[in-house]
Amino acid sequence: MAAGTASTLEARLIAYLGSRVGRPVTVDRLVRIAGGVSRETWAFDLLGGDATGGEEGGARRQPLVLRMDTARPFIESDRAAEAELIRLAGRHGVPVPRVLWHETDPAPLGAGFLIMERVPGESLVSRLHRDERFAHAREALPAQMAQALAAIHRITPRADLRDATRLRRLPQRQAVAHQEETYRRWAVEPHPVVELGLRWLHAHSPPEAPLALVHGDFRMGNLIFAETGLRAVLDWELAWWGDPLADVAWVALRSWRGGRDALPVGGLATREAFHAAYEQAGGQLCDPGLLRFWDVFAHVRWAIVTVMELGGFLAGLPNLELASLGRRTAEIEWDLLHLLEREG
Amino acid sequence: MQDRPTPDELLRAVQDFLRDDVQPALEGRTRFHLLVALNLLDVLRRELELEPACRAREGERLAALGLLEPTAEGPPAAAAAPDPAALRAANERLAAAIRAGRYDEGEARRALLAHLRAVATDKLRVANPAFLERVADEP
Repeated sequence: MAAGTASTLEARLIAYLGSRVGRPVTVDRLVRIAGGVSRETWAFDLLGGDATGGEEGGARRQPLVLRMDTARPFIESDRAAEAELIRLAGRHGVPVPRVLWHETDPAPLGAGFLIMERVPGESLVSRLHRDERFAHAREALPAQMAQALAAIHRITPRADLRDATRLRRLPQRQAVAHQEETYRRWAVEPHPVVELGLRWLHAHSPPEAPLALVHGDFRMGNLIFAETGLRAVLDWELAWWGDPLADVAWVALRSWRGGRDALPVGGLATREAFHAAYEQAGGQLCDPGLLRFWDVFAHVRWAIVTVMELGGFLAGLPNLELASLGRRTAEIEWDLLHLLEREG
Repeated sequence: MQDRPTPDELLRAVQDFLRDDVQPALEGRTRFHLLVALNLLDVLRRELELEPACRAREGERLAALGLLEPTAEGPPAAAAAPDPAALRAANERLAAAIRAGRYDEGEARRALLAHLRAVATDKLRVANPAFLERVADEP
């Protein structure tokens, strides 16, 4: 079940965290924040949770974030795998929040969850574009994003990974098949543009590439930035083992540009400049032919995400964002049609 | 026939109230959701105005593609806006024909792409006209 009221959740958090740190703790300023529709995201401060705090009269205040599964999660990943993945990415030089606790067991809080440190900074692309204090960040971010993405893509599925090996393995054809399955399961009305996109993807599957970690939702909105630029890459719940070019195409979708279409990568950089920075950082070769496939894939996948979220709304998930996403499918279809027209 | 206010006037009154009286009292996630709600009311107002014509145009195009059955009354389906169930059935047939490969190439594909572009444009006139302005200058 979902968390219910903040006071119920606060009491459960205090009990859980107290048992984990082995002494009484306090939870302060618990507030639900906007943070995606597949998870409930809460911010709070933990007092008394750190052994180094509290010695000189006042308990140290730890700003934390709780990411909790919703009642009907669309995403069949588990929190143990996600926690391992975030820690793994951190060891590979990707800026990530420190994961402090995670549970797949719904008993403590009512649903599986992660508790992470709250990285100070912003995630709203409109602030990044407009606020003078982010002038340097705007300059620095494309290269920092390229470096982070290249670092993610150097992670490969290895035997020593315990939980992360349970992530889906989706090389090209399986990635398309997985999207089609998702679409058939959730679509409540016909979407001829999506059908056309899926058919094109089936017919144009490129040769298989070695599997690497694909973040799955690397974009503005899931990146924390400060005046110095990139601070953390968030939202690892959609990750899979597949072709890294899926991320390279995804980051340039129109929806993450904050209206600055001349700079397709987050309204910050041209595709060419970003690809060059990504290759220079040790990322995959951004072959234009392969990227045409992954561009179509990114649009089809994003359209299917909106179809799925509409399906969630119609199935009873009370979320205004889910309802509104149903009316965004046409934007993505517009861009997908443009790609398909170009491809002939 | 209902008394005034019209649906559009009612929706405007609700929007004014939410924007002027409710929004200033909100913050964080709730404030964000209020902005989403205000936008959805804009969508609804445009839909009340534009949707009959959009449905009629979609019906004409689907009939031209041979996907919409003429109504039993005799007049061609294009004459009046088809009901949502008829449009949905036609779009189901279209989806099945795409899966069967009937629009893979040639003139059929060109005609389909033009149809889908026109439908997407009409959807965006309701859902997000600013998007259409945004892409107007793109090649």
